[in-house]
Amino acid sequence: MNTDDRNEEWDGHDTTTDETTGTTTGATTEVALGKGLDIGTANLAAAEQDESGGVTVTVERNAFLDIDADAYSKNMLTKLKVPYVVHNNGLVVIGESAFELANVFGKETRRPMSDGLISPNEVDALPMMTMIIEKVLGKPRAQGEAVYFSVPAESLDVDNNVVYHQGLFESLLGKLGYTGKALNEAHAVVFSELAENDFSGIGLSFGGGMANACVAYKSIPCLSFSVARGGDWIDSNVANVLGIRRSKATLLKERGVDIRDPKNREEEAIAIYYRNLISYLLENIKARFEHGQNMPNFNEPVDIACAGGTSLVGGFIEVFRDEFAKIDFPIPIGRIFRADEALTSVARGCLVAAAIGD
Amino acid sequence: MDSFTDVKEALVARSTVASIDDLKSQGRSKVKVIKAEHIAAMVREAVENAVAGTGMISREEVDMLVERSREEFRDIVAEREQQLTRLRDAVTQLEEIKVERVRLQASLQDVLAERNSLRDELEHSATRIAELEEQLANQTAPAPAPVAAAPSSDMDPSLVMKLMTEVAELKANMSAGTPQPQQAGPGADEGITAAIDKLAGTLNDRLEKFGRKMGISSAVEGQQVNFDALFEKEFDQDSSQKLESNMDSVQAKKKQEGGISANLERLRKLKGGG
Repeated sequence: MNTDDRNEEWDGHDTTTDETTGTTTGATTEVALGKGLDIGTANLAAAEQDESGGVTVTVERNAFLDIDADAYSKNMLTKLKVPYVVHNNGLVVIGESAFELANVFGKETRRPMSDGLISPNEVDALPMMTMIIEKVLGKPRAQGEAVYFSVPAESLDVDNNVVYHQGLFESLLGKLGYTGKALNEAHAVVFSELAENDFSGIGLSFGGGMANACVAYKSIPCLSFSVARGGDWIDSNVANVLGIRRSKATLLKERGVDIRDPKNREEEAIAIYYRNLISYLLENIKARFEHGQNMPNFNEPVDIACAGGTSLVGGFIEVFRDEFAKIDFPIPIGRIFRADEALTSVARGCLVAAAIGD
Repeated sequence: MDSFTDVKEALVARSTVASIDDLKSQGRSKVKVIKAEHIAAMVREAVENAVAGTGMISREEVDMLVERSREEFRDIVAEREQQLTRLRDAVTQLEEIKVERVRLQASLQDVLAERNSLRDELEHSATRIAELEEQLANQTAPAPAPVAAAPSSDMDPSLVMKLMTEVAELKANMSAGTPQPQQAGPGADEGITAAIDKLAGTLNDRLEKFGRKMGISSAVEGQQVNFDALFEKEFDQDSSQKLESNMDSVQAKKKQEGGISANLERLRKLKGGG
């Protein structure tokens, strides 16, 4: 466990930090330090170990909404415990409440991130994300507490660069009193879901902005990449086809669709684009395996673990298995399953990495 | 709209425009011209006469027949126009595909040109290596004029052989793209060592230049970029611009999930009992 960053006592807390174990002792119990943070386009999720040895997760929607600033609105928001900030002489509602209000008012939320990375087009991205991350992570339990945060891999189908995104969040976390370290998003899924397979197999994270893939052998990533298609891609296409707002398409998707058995035109559109996304990712994994160098030779079947908010839709794994059966995959595959806690799997994987340390 | 207008419109829709020059190029110096109105009138008259001449149907039935024919005609015209539109769309798509093909061919030409340029660079590098080898070989031959040499510069034939071997290895390494092997021969002559270093440096320069062209040269890592300045406003405690919010009083929703101790234990075992 890396304890280099945990030498100082945390002022104001009645705790002591053990430098050899990286734990903080409260009144009666030890708490293992280190947190995991999934910085997703659609949601931010933080995970930390608690006194009972369980994991506490906090999830917040990565969105905000401008509303008119007046004393009445401010009072109402405070009474309703809706989080807001006053920014540029206006009120900005943050998180899940922003998404709910947007659907009530018939507006679109503003998104600090786009396609898996900090959005270059959103001028208020940085201050809003700082607020949301501070809210989900809370205060560090020790100065310089390690936070492993998820970053996407380079995309196969768009020209993107993760360096700025990674550096930005390392700095942000440093300002919050943490030590930030980046971890590939799909690699985090391997850590959280493939422990029984000795961390060998394929981890897939279906996020809002991207889908990430990682092929790992004994926890070592052999292949990592992403494609710029995710939940937002599905929402945009469904919105275009149906002639509705994107946030309305998101709501339709999240309210309980079964993509094996769509009931109406809207659900049919959602199912079509889900199949396309899954098929696209599988074809790209297959192509990378066939053309990549230094790929591991899996003699035994390996499992595929799916996670991410976009995989929460009903019938996802069944459709995934359908699409998988259509292609001639180059390595033997055992189980294909979705994580029990698909929305927080990446954050939990980051927590595993933080707890183990370097 | 009456049948007269329908026929006229149909004639106009089916007709094409040709300039006088086009007609001349086809060898026509004179053409017969007839107005669409005349054709429509002739068609109408012919139909009416034919129908009236049979004496089999009344005037009203004739009018009804004419009306139905007009509708039929209109439908046919609309269908033909749709076909024409689809054809035009297909032609447009074909043009776009052709343009894309030309663009791709141009890209291919660029890539081939780049490849040829790199091939030339490789040949040039090989020529330079040959020149250096020749220079090295010439150093072993007795020179008529005294040449400035490093101290203790006795040209031991075994050292010369060693030097030639090293140059051959360098050449082989450059072809294979592998890093140069470390050489630490005890008793190596300083002058020969300096010559080898100079040769290696020259080859490295050429490799570096070649590598940059191929895009495989490794860049020197710069200092990590510090983004702290971007967050000054958010984290400046004394700033009057600190955002007003109620976030401190709104608790984030937390959820309890299963522990990760099993994952940690497995990972520690994998890493060797950490």
